[in-house]
Amino acid sequence: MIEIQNLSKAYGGAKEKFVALHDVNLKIEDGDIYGIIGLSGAGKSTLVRCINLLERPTCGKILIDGEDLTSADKKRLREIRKSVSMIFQQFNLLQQRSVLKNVELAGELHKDAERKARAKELLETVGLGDKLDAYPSQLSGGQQQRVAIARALMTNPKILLCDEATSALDPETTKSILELLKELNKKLGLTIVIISHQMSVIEAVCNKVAIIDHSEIVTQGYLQDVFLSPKEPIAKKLIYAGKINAGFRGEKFVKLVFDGSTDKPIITNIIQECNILLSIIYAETKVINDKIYGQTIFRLPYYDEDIEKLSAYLNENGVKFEEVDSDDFC
Amino acid sequence: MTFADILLLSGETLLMTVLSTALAYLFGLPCGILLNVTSKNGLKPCKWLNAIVGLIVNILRSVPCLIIIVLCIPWSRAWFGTGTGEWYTILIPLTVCAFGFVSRMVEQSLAEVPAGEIEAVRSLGATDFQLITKVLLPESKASLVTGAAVVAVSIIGYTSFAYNIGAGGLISGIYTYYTRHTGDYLKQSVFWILIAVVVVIVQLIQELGLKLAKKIDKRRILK
Ligand SMILES: Nc1ncnc2c1ncn2[C@@H]1O[C@H](COP(=O)(O)OP(=O)(O)OP(=O)(O)O)[C@@H](O)[C@H]1O
Ligand SMILES: [Mg+2]
Repeated sequence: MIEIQNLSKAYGGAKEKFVALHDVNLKIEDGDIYGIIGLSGAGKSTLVRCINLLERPTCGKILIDGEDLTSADKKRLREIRKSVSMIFQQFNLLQQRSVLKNVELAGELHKDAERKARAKELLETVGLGDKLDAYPSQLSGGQQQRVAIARALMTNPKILLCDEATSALDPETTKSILELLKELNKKLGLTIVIISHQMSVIEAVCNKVAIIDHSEIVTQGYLQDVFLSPKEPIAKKLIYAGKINAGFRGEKFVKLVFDGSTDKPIITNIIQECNILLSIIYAETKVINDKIYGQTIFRLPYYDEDIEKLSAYLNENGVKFEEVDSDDFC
Repeated sequence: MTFADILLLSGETLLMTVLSTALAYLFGLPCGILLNVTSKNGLKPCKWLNAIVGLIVNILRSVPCLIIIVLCIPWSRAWFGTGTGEWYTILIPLTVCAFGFVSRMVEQSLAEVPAGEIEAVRSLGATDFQLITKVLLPESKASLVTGAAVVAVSIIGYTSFAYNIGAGGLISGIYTYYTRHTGDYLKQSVFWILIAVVVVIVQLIQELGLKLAKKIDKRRILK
């Protein structure tokens, strides 16, 4: 378990102080795939780099299974780093080492006599058993990230930190890397922290998510709660950005959220039974943790009686809905 | 001047160059590592140490080589029994002359290693020492080799000063030849042959260095 308590990080001296993180509190449980999303410059990388103390926080605590990293001595810190591995956007493989040697490196650092066999095994796991003697410059981005994952797994970590690990990859490769992470999470019980500015990445694999904005955690919780009913402006911006035409500014909308508890064709029924004509602005379904969630946003009906009919119908059927402002979405 | 003479002079020059380069690296490599490691973006930033070492290196680099050679005469005398007249009396001064240059070259090569690579290996639990031996040096090996070739070529240039302390070698041989044939040295084929030999040696070192660097560099392999 990772507990981040009152974490703050300021860069620069007293004169040009820049607060990159302000009073961050997070709890990441064992087995979580925890997403941290935010716009560029929000402090995501700083936060994740504090988790293995690549960046030393200005104040606050980082507890890994109850042990405070900030008070660990150097030797202990290196031990702890074995259990908290990391992969990066730019892969960061050693260019002068072969694939196998790159993965073996972690074993070299910790005098692991079995390193060669283990490195080979891990490269098989990530699907690169036939590239042992290649050099990073001979591999595609996706393959390089797989090598980086194998390298990260060499130390038998409990936690894997991913800083924009798929941001340099195309959508197809991104998907395959995320699948691999998911598989490792299941098979090894690996706790994974995924930093991204892409909603789709978080959506595809995470069970929990935190949104970071201007150095602060704005919201956190289960993915379905945060993604289906975003409340904070930044959350709405991140989740709906670009999906709804800005031409709708100033209008009133209704948002329905389906969580799989009803199997009636709600939209059809609203039109047929309540006799209200809907104009749908946005609709989507998401699969989150193997459950199907859907949401639909349409224009608020013009006549009050229609609105009443609509709300009565939705209440009757237990469908969550809320009136929303178009400005939140456009 | 016979063929054997030319061979002897070339041998002296090569010996001076290779040994001084090796000695300059013996001291300059650790110094360059120290400069890189203690620099602002280094593994272990340490302002005062970096400033002191940097200052020593800068001072050494700003004293002209000829002055260093004169200053080193007593030192050579103490070690070799003579401060002038033998090929090896140029070794100490050449090493001192090249030391600062080598330190800066090494510092520069190490600085080319991407910060991300260092960080990634640090995140695996590496000590600072391991970062030097497993990341900084191996990852910059191609640049280090190219640098060494550049250093060796400039040391050949410095061997000119061997003339001033009678330490011999090709270049001082050429100069001596000139002093004996001031009237028609440009018309003597021996004079030109000696120069050609110097040019060939310099080209050889340069080409070998670049070839070797290219060969060991795994960054740009054709796919
Ligand atoms: N070493 C540093 N010195 C000074 N300021 C820094 C340093 N590192 C980061 N910052 C600042 O801290 C802020 C947060 O940076 P961070 O890298 O954590 O952002 P991010 O959310 O990861 O952004 P991106 O999505 O672009 O990677 C930025 O405004 C950045 O300029
Ligand atoms: Mg970042």
